[in-house]
Amino acid sequence: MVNFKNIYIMLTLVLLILINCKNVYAQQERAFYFSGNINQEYSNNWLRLPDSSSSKDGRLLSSIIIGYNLNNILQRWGFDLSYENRYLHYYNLNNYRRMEHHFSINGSINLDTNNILFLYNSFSIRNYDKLKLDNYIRNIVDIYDRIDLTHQLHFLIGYKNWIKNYQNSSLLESYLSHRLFTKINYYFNSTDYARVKLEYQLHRGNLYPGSSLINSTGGLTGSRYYAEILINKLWGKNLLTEFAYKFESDQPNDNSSNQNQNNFQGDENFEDLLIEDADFDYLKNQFNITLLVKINEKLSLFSFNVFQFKNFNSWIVNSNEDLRSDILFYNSLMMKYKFMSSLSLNLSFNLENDISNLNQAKYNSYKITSGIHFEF
Amino acid sequence: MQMTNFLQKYYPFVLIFILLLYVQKSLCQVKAIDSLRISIATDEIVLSKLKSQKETISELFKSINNKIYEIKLKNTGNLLNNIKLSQYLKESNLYADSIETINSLVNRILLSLNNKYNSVITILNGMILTEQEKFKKETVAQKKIDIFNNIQDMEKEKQKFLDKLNINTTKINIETPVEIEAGDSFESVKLKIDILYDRINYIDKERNRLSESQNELKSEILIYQDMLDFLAELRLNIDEEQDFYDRDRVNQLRYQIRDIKSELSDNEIKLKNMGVEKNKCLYKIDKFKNYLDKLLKSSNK
Repeated sequence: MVNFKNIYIMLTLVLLILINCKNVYAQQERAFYFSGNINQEYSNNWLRLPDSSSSKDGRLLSSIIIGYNLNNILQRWGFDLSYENRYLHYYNLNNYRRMEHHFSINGSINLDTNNILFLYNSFSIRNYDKLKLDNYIRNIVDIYDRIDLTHQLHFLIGYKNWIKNYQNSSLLESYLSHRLFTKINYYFNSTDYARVKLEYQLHRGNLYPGSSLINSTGGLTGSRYYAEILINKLWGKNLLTEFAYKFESDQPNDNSSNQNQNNFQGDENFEDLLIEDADFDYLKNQFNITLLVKINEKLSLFSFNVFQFKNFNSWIVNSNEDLRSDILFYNSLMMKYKFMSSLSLNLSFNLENDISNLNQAKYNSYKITSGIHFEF
Repeated sequence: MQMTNFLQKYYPFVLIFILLLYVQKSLCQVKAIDSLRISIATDEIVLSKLKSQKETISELFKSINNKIYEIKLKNTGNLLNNIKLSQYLKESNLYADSIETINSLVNRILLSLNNKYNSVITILNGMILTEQEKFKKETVAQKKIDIFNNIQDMEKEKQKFLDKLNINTTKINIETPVEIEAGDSFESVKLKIDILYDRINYIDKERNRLSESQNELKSEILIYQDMLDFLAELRLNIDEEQDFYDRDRVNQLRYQIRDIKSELSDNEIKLKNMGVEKNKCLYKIDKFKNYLDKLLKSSNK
């Protein structure tokens, strides 16, 4: 059961702090906002299993966001505080019913006319009704500095930190990653731009619950090198396109604890488990294509496509000593129809298909969603 | 649930901490007034620099207009002169634009300064009231004198900002620096009317161009807003761990929208100023024509 007392305490604290800030920030513009989604969803394979028969179900998803936006009158700085409550109610797969709480702070401050510091923190709690061992708390900190070299050329440098703790499980290893990144954004004009991103990541532990990397000696550590090229273009007034290519190379670090832990096992049955241990020792090439078509002021269509090619360096899948190789295709088609100024009707179809030479990793799933989005 | 356990356990302490924050509020007021003082001083420096820049550009504007009069007075129809004339007209419009931009910047800073003056006055009022309360309760004579002096200083400062506020309420007018000067002949006044008509044509063209660009910006905002909405929907389908798209993209979109909105409001101000300037030009044309009538009548007499 969800502990409402704890949620109440946290909400009271947030409100008290906000009231407290009221007079101190008398010179700022403030605005509360309230938005959310209520969706009815059906998937033929929520758990992403090779055999989907046991995991088809419908679910009700509700997401409510309460936020508070602070902006300095001279735009010197601004920040946004928000709390999102998400409830996922499965009709048959009772074990996976859960409540999620997401607290986030998003801020920026102009250090100089061409230098902006951004700070983002997101703290999440996931509480399953029954799978208590999979409950987790997660915190993501993102801090980066944007230097506008010219009006068209922006340089960014930053640090990102992930912590994920499965607090009820002594078997699951906490996940931790430190990410250093740099980006260059070049604007061809006010709408079209290209971006190059480079990132180095040091990570340890289980990104997903149920991973086989259970150990008591500190977890497997890996280094990841990441590069991305993104091109964004607005065609006329109604078509927005985005193309991205991402390359990732992950290597387990060469240390004694890793030598002992580098053993991979089979798959697990958890909804948000993609492929266990898929977070180590691989080469990944990924292409993203995003299309947004605005038919008229009320109706818009959106398509998000991912083609991912993942080749593992040391994961042998059969007696021929073939290495594991996955091709993942993800496609999301969405439609949004706005009505009554603050409401919109959403319909979406998501398809996810993993073709792998590891039988336990293969899956095919689709999801159909219809829902209402509101914003005040 | 380490975090919630922590909160349950230490809830009273957190409440005490918040109460302490209330106590600290007066300290924050002092910090707020200090940062406002610094910000006011910076704005005032920028304002005086802008005013001196405006004077320099106004001089250049006058001199280029004089060159235009000279060429138009000669009225030779010479190709070289025509090229020079169109070049000077272009420069004259550029200077007029710069004066316009400075005027709108000055007006904006004046508005922001007025807000800041008001904020400082409000904070000072609060601080004076607090000090007056202290003064009533204080029994030690020396401390009473100190508090009284403090109140006096704050009253003086408040008066200073009130005076500044009163001066600033008289806003700077948007001027088209073409005026009838002593000794202007019939022809030169006619040429000045021509220049004003040129300016009106230019303003009309710019207004049309800007209005079109406003429509484009509005449709850009709509499509970016849609993109943000869809990415928010996508967030419900894709866990952040899947790393399919970069969350920074959402931030970048937000800032793009904010930039476009600020460009829209800047352009809105420009459009209004252009409208005002056009009316001023029309008013001046009427005035100059009346002056010409008077000149004609006096020459007939």
